[in-house]
Order: sequence, then C-alpha cells, then structure tokens
Amino acid sequence: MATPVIEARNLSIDYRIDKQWLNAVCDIDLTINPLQIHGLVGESGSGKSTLGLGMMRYLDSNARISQGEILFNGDDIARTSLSQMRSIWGKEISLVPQNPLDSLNPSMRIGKQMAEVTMLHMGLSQKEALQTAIQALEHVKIADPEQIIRHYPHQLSGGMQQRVMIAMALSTRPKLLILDEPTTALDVTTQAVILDLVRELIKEEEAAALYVSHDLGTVAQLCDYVTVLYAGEVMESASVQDLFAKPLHPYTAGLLSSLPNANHGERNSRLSTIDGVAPSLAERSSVCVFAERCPVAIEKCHNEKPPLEQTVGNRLGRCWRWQEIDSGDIIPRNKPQGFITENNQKEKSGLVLAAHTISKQFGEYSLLDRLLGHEKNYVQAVQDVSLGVGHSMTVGIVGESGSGKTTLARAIVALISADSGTMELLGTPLPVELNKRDKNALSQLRMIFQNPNDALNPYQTVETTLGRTFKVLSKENPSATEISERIEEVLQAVGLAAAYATRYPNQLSGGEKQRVALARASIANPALIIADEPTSSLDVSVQATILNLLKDLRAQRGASYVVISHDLDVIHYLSDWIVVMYLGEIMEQGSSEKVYELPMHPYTEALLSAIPVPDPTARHGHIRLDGDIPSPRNKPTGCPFHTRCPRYIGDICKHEAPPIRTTDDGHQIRCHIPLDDLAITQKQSTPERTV
Amino acid sequence: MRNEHGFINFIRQIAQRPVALVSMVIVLIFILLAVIGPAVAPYEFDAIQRGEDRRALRNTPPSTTYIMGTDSRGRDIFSRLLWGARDTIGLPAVASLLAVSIGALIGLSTGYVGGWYDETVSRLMDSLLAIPALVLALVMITTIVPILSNTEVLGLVQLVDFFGANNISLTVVIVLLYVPIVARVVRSATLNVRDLGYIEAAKLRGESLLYILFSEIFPSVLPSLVVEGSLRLSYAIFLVASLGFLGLGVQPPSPEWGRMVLDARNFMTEAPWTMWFPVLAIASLIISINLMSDGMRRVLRNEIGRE
Repeated sequence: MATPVIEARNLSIDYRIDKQWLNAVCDIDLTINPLQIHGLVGESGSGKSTLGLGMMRYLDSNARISQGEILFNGDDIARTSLSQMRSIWGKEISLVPQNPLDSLNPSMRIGKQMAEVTMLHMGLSQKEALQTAIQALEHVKIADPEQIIRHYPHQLSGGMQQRVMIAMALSTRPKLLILDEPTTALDVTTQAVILDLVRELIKEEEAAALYVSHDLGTVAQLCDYVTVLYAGEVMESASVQDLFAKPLHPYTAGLLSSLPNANHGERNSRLSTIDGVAPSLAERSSVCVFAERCPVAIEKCHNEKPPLEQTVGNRLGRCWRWQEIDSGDIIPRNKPQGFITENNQKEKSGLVLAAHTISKQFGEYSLLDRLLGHEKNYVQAVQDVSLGVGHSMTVGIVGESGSGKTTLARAIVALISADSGTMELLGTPLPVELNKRDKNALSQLRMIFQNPNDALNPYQTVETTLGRTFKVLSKENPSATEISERIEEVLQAVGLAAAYATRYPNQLSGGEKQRVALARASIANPALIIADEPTSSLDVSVQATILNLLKDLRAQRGASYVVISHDLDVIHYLSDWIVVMYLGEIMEQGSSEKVYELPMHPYTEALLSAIPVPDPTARHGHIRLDGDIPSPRNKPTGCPFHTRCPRYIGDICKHEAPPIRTTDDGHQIRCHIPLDDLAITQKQSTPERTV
Repeated sequence: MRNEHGFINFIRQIAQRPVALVSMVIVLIFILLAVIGPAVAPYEFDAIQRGEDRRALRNTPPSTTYIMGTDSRGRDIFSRLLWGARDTIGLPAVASLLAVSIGALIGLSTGYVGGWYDETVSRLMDSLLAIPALVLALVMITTIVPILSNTEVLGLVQLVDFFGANNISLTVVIVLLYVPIVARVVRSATLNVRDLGYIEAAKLRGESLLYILFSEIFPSVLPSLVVEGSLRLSYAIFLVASLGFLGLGVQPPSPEWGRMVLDARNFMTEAPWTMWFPVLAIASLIISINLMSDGMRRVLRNEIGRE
C-alpha cells in the first residue's frame, strides 16, 4: 500500500474548561491514503470537528494535543512549532470551513483574497496570482470568473462562496484537504452540486481529503472510507461500502436505522431510536462510552473498555460483541415498538384549516427612502397560496431557503399578517391579524418553533411555561390542581417524567426542550399544530425520537399538523399530503405517495435526486440544478422555476405562468408540460429511486 | 441567574474575583455610612471645634482628636464627611433609580413595539444624548431653580418646600441625562430577545403587552440593567460632586463632598488635608462602583455564555 498522506497515532486532544483539562478526543488512530476521501462522522459533541481541525493543528487557544503524533511528510506535525505550521497551512493542507462567509474577508475582493494564497505559498507575482485565481474559479465551474474576482464576498450566494473557498483551498495543489461540514449551510440542491464537484476535483488533483460531517447521507455519497466517532473515541472504521452494508457497531447501526428514510417508506412504523444523550466532556466514562445508550450492552460493557480491534477484513471496531453482531445473533438496535395505529378521524368532513390565496410581501420603505425618492423595494415572499388541512391529517410543506414556507406558517398563525387572502379554522373565519383572533382560535391553532434553544424562556421553569399556557388558553378558569394534573399528563404524553416540571431550560437537552415545546403546543388540546422545522437543529438519533413522538401524538389525540421542513425525507415520513414550494409559490401538491410517483414537477424531481441517500451502492439521482435559487427580489417571470428547470421547453415558461394540472385524485402540478409527457420523459431518464 | 440559586451563585462568582469583591465591600461600606453616618459621627457637621481659649480651631492638621483635621471654619472634616455621605450618595441614588426605572420602561417598550413609536422616541433620546452633560446641567439648574423657587402651583410649592428647589432640579437633570442612556441599553437588550421563540409563543397565546414586557422580556434584560444602573450611580455621584464644586449642587449648610472640595480650594497650600479627604472619598467611591460593575458584567456575561 502507498505511504499514507497523513497518519495520526494515539492522538488525544484536550480542552481547558473551568481550569481543568478535559479530554475531547482520545487515542485516535487515523490514516488517510492518497486519493482517498475519508469521512469522519458523529453527532454534535462527538469531537469530529476537533479531530478534523486537530489533524492540521488548527485548534482553539484552550486546546492542546496531549499525546500522540501526527505524521505528515514524514514529520511529526504534532510537535512542530506553529510558525513552521504556517508554511504547511494553505499550501500542503487546506481547509474548507463550514461557513464560507465567516472565512472570507468581507472588505477584500475575491480575486485579491485568492491571489494572496498563491503569492505567499508559490511566490507568484500579483498578475500571475490573479491569473491562477481565474483558472481556479473556472475549475470549480464558476461562470465568468473574470467578473467574479472583482466581487466582494457578500455579493455572492452561499453556494458560490463555498465554491470560491474550494477553489482557494485547491489553488496551491495541497496534498490534503480538510472539509469541515462544507455543505451544512447550503440548500440540498446546491449541496448536491458542491459534493459532486468536490469528489471530481479531489480525484483530478490527486489529493486526499478528510470530510467531517454529521450527515450520513453525504458521507455515503462522497467518501471512500468512514470513521465513526462517539464521545471522542473511534467506534468503527471501515470502507464506505462495508460500513453502510453491515454496521458492526451498535452505535453505527443505531444511527443508520434512525434516519427517516431507513424504513423505506413504511410510514406507519416507528423509527428506531438511540435512547439517552451523549455524555459531556466531563462525564466520559472509563468503560465503553456507548454502553449507557447501547441496546445490546452486557455486563462486560459496563466494566471494561473494549479495545479498537480489527474485525472483519480490514475493518476496525470498538465493541465486545462484534462477532455476535456479524454473525447476526443479535440485532444491535432498538426495535421500533410496533406500528402506529391511526386514530382515524379522517372521515370527519370539513377542513380544520382552509387558507385561500394567501400572499405576503416584505419591504423596507423607511422615511429616508421616501425622502430620497427611492422606489419601493418589495419581496414577494408568498404568492397566492391556498392550502387545506383535513381532520387528523399531516400536511408537509417542503422547499429550500427562500421558498416562503416559513413565511406561510407565520402568516397562518398570524405572527405576521398576510397582505391578502382569507382563512377559516374549523369552518369559522380566521382573522389575519393576531389581535383580532379570539381565545378559541388561539387555543385551536398552536405552533412549534424551529430552534428549541430559544423556544423556552430561560428564566421560567417547565411548569411555569406549561401552566401559564394552559391557564391562558383554557375556556374555564382551571384550578391549581387541574393545572398541575394537566401538566403531568402532557409531560407524560411527550415522554418526560413529572420531575421535569421544576427544571429550567438550561437543565434540558435539545431533544428534551423540543419535547417541552411539543407539550406546550398540545396542552390546550388544539385542532392544528404548525411545526416549523421541528427537528432541523437536532442530531439524527434525537430527531428520530421527536418524529416518533409527533406521530404518536397525532395518533392519540387526533390533532392535525402542518409540518415545514427543507428535508424531504422528514416530510415524507410524517405527512399524508405534501406541498412543494418554490419562491413563494406552490409548484406541486398531492398525497404523500403521489408526489413520489411519476409524473412529478421538474422541481420536485430535482429535489428528490439531490437528496444524499445513506447507501453508497444506490444509484444517485442524476439531476443537478444549475445556479442558485434566484433572489425573491428579482423573481423570474412566468414560471418561477424556469431559470433552473432541467425540462425547460421554451419561451412559454419564461413568459406565461404555468397552469395547474390536476389529476383525478387531487394531485396538482403547476407546469407547462402536459402530465402525460412529463411522466414519459421522467420514466426514460430517472434511474431506480431508492427512497 | 438562571435557577433558584442564581443570586447565591452570582455572589459566589463575584467572590472569586478579588477586585470585584473588594470594590463591592467598599461600596457597601459607603452605603452603610450614608445610612448610619450621622449616628456614628463624633460631632455635628456644623459644630465649630474650639480650643481651650474658645477660639475656633481653623485648619488644624489631622490628629488623634480630629483624625482628618478641621476645615477653614474649624469644623471636624471626618464628621462632615460622614454627615455628607447621605447627600453625596443619597440624592444621586434616588435620581439614578428614577432614571433606571423610566429608562427601562422606555427601552423595553421601544425595543419590543418598534415601528413609528420606536423611531420617534429613540430619535428624541438620541438628540438628548447629543448635548454635553455638564453644559445641560448648568443651563437646566440656572433656569429651573428660579422657576421652582417662585412657583405658585399647588403641590409643587409643598414639594419645593420639602425637598428644596436645588435638590429637585438636580434630580430632574440627572433623570433627563441618564434616561436616554439606560433606555438605549435596555432597548438593545430587548431587541436581542424580541424575536425569539418564547416571546412569539407568548404572543400566540394572546398575552398582553405588559405581561410580555415584564414577565417574558424583563428577566433577560435585568443583568444589563443592573450593570448599567450601577454605572449610572457612579456617574451621578460624580456629576453631583462636580456641580457641588461649581457651587450649583446640593446647597450649604449640607456638607456635600463636592462642596467641601470647593470650600477647601482656597486653603489648598496651607491646609491641603481639607481637600484631600473629600477628594479621596469621592474618588474611592466612584472607582469602587466602576470596578464593581465591571466585575458584575463579567460574571453575568459568563453566565450567559454558558447557556
């Protein structure tokens, strides 16, 4: 085998927190061979970013490498001085960071920033360096690089910024590229394009890469070899095919089976989950770190730390029971507990919520603008959206950033007032302004917020928050005992012990906070709960428990839900009816099964094929959208999707708004292409979908 | 400050910072003196000390009897400082408390309500901030005091009689000067939380404006308000002492410290101690308050950073 590009041996990194050194990553052996893309996966707090950045000695000032060595070019760079590292950083090891906007100098033009790197490391003149920058930008498929080098970072979209970072990182022809969650901040269609590009370029440049991510889907799509981290230790390390085909560690198995598409469209079954929470830095145990949460832990696991040993073939694993897992004697994951029986009120006639032609514009028109005679500059966030939600039904709204899905949700609950359109809740008109809604409307229509960390007042106990909500929204004045009984009841419904009532939000984990938020939304028995990205800030294992809970609550209480997400898998798992939005308009809506079948709107088709599937053997969808989502400020005329549509048919798309084509079962597609033609072309070009 | 032991925890963390702890103790001692000063002072503030020959002991240097010496009229400086603490600290304390309350109300409401209300009120506050403090104070006092002294408005007359025209105008000046500053701090703290989920959740259950302002937002504004309030106190003390030195502060016979410095100025060379001690008292008080609020700010910032 070729000499490795970089090799870490027994590497440990500590952080100094509250005057003591705490171990963040422990005893890591990591080898990256030439031409290899090595994935480093783990949930938040697993130490993946620390390790990724630590491999290039790029650590915070309160961190230190406490033991081990990092061999690069035959030197131990764990011991070299930082000034020596400076000649390696950017030249031989480059970093593509998570948030490109933070890493680009906002006051410097793109060309000059890129030139700086090559001038420093390769001794080019400014003119040569600018020429190199243009070539590098061409390389990452940026159209018109001569123009782009004159731009400032904020003038570029997120996807373009990340391309610039990749071009900059590759411009010195480094041996190793470290990618720290490079696509987390990007939309799924942009992410797909960037990942394709990264893979292509790394192979072309004959470099190697370390790809740090929490997303198993992108790892499967991009990497050759995967290392799974948990609580700062390697759990399992294997080639991407082996790992995804047959995980030998209970943690990896648990992660994979907690993904919402893991049960292949079996939407009535629960997802399997990983119980408990990851230990904090101070709580790391000296036995198996995963034993606490492991479904197949035996006594030995709680007494002795398993070594990282060679398992099947070249694979490494840290588990006492890998042989049993390999032979299939034990199944290393929590079995989902049965099917969810629907509390079927769907026959109930009428709609819980009916919204007709809702529109919302945003615009800043300050006094100064008016005095200076500026024209009004409006953004059409939501345009003529109509939506119906039946009893005990979940409607999923999916779209990328700028699609208007959150604006729509906020207009429904009246956190913002819709400019036009009407709404009805349970058959009675629902005013668009919040202060005109009566207590009944408020208690029937509740909302769950995106970020669990700010959904709860940090100065109020769970009890105060829940009790106040119940008291304010109840029709009769509940007594103190009624309130506390009800609190206990909803806490139990969301799977929290009654003792949680006295806790403050900073004593809860992210998943627990979201459970309390769910309890708060359902405490007054609402008819409809709007959930805006309820799981997007949670780890996958926690996400699974929240998704199960949402399904259970619906089954038990029969409330309807509107769930908003950028994640089609989440939407597909939860919803009966899917609405696909793009630039403030509905492109397609239909029952959950229908939207996944042919024909579908070209945008839905592109969204589906952009989803990274956690299965390296899957044939990936081949449709990649050019460019980025247009700014809603300059919304394209005609069909809003025509600028990126892979099935663009001509001027008609540019000039005329597409008709809504409806099939017999209510499936609606807004496209100029007749449905039959769409079905035929999509059938010809679409590979087997694995979703 | 985010669980029931927040206050104890806060004190414990202050205790880990020696500078903050010492300065907090000094401030507490000064406050204690303002309360009990007259009771423990060896002499009356206006009692002229006389020797055996019945002549006033003018400008005597510190000794065991008069530990800080006597002033140009033969009054015990130590006693005067103790008596004067009440006016020097008390009036600014009341005035800055008023300023903090009004400023917090304005800051909370402008930050949360926004729109035209915010634009109008905030611009008004900005224009007040643009005027130099001492100049505004001088102009205000020279105009308000005569008006107040000659007022015939019922109620106001009694008020002036009770508190004194000078004290009222000093309070008005301090309130006018510090309300905009406090309001700005509270407004920006309010802006940080107004769009968070828990505020929106409160809106969506139909809570009233007052409930949202005081029960949901106020606790998160409180840390910055406490820090700003203590800073305002130190500046108010400084301002009142400065005005006293200019002869426009709390009027004699009150032994306000700034006034004492003014009186001592003429004897600076022959009896420097008459000046040292009031200056030292003012300086140590203000520096202590500043160091204390700095320590509090660091502790509170840490608490928030640890969320």
